[in-house]
This record gives sequence, C-alpha cells and structure tokens, in this order.
Amino acid sequence: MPTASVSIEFSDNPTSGSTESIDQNFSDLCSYVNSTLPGYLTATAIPSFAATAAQQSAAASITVFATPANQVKHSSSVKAWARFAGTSTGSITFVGYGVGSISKIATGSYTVALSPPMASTNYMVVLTCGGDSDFGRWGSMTTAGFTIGAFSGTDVSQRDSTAIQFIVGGFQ
Amino acid sequence: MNTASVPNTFASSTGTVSLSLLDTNFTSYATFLNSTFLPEITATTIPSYTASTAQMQTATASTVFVSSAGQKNHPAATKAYASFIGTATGTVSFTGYGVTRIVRAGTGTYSVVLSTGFASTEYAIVGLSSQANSLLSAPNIGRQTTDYFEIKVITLFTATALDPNYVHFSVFGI
Repeated sequence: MPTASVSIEFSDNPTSGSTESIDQNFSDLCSYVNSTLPGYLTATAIPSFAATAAQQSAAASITVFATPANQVKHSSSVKAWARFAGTSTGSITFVGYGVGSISKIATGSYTVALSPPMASTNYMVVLTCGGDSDFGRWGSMTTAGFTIGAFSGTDVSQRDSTAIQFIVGGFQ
Repeated sequence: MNTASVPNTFASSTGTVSLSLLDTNFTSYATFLNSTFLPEITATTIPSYTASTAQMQTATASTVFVSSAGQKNHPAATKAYASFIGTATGTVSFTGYGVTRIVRAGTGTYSVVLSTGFASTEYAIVGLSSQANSLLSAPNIGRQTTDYFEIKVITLFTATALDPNYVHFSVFGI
C-alpha cells in the first residue's frame, strides 16, 4: 500500500483548538492525500483496465489487459472448434468451444450452430476428417453457423466420417 | 484515482479539544484510510492477480489478468501447430509450437508427438496438405492418443497414400 507522510500545523493551540479548526485541518489533510496519491491499480479496479471487445478485436492497445473472458475476442484467436463422430445421429454430442449445437442432416451432412454467432458471413472454417480416407468441406455459411459435408476419398461420395474436426476464425 | 473524504466523526459545536482526543481521531482516521485504499498491484504482486489454469479454461473471469504463460490454457488458443515437408524421411524438421517430434512412418503417414499431453483424447486436429502437381490430396487423422496422433495424406479419388510437398496442422483442446 502507498503511504503518506503528513504533518499538520494547527493555527491555534491544539489543546484549546476549536472543532471547526480540526475539521478544516482534516479537510486539508484529505485534499493533500487525494492530490498526493496517484491513481493506482487495485483488485477491484481490474475490470476498468480490461480491454473491451472492440479493443481486443482491434488488437492495437497497449494500455489495457486481456482477461480470460475477453481473450477470445482477439483477432488471432479462433472463435470455435469441435470434434464429433459423424456416425452419430440427430443432435450430436461433441467436444469443443464456441459451438452451440451440431446436428446430422443426412449421411455425411451436418449443420453447426455457433454460439455466439459471427459478425458477418466473412469468416474461416478449416476441417479435417478421421477414418481411413475421408475428407470434408464446408457448405453454406451464415452468421449463425455453417454446414459440413464428409466424403469418401475413394469415390468422393458422402459418408459418415468417424471423426470430424473443425476450427472457425473471424470476428464476432 | 482513489479518493478520501473526511469521516464525519469530528462534529462538535462546543468544547475544547484535548491531545488525547486528537490522538483518537488521528487513529480513527488512519483506520479509515487503511480500509479505503486497497493494496496496490505492483510488478511483484501481479502473479497473485493473474488467471489460474482453471480460470483460463473456464474463460469467463473478468477480474484477473491473462499472463503470457497462461494464455495458452484458454480454450480458444491453439495448443500446437506445425508445418513440415511431407517428402522428408525419418525424423522430420518442422516449424511449430507445442510439438516435440514428427516422424514420417511411411508414405503419406506421419506421427506427431505433442509436447504437453491433453487431459483426454477428445481434442481436435485440423490440417491441410499441398501439392506442386495437379493431384488433389487431403490429410486425414489416424490413431489419436492424449499426446500422439497420426496424419495420413491420400490422393483423392484413389485414396492411395501420398507424400505431399507440405503438411500444415493445428491442434485445439483442453
């Protein structure tokens, strides 16, 4: 903690000074403390020094901090990723981040809902499939999500890949 | 800036003030100051205010800082990535992060050893391969353990193994 060294000179004899005189001197002391101690960082003040989503996205400020909650807003951060079994049906269980749900539409065809959505449809999806020779590609893209197609590397027909994995980059 | 205001404990319209009363009031004032001004965060105390691994993985705290050492623990941070030449043999030279070793196990097949293992095998790998000729190739993930996985590159339409010019991959997980 910063410390202040303060001396007060009473204009009156302190043993007989009036309360008004003391109040004035304490008021002067407070003014002195306020003018002497600079603004400094404390635990409760951390949120005030945390970067806003806009500052994280712009990635240019050197006067604010990243927090666990806002780190993902940085331009270099992926916004979502997941790994799921394409052989599942209906609403698919997955491991990941930034993904609300994954559903199977048909054989080798899936929809991904992002949470939160992207700011525009100009974002990046990279995906890779498991299995012996499968590969994948993305289909239609909206701000809310996108579709995935999984294919056999042998005849390029759609098939349920055992493990489909993707990442998403862009702005939210 | 932190600000102090005079606690209203000195109001008295009459009477004289003794030295003992002054001492008491100064003590009260010191207590007031100590309770008002929180400890300052300095360079040496910053570690006490940085996010723990658990806080980074949860990714919701806004009252702690992200440190350089802890940034990688965020779920949106890549845990490993690399770029290497697919035609190399044996132990493959690579540029990357979070990867200990890459070995070409056979045509189009590469084993990757991660520097830090994941908590489970439930992590995601995405990769791309590139060719100088007109062949279309695609990387494929084979066996996958907590700290090891295989990349298999095939030629599309024939599904035969292929050594591509370059392989790039990135790994995400917790």
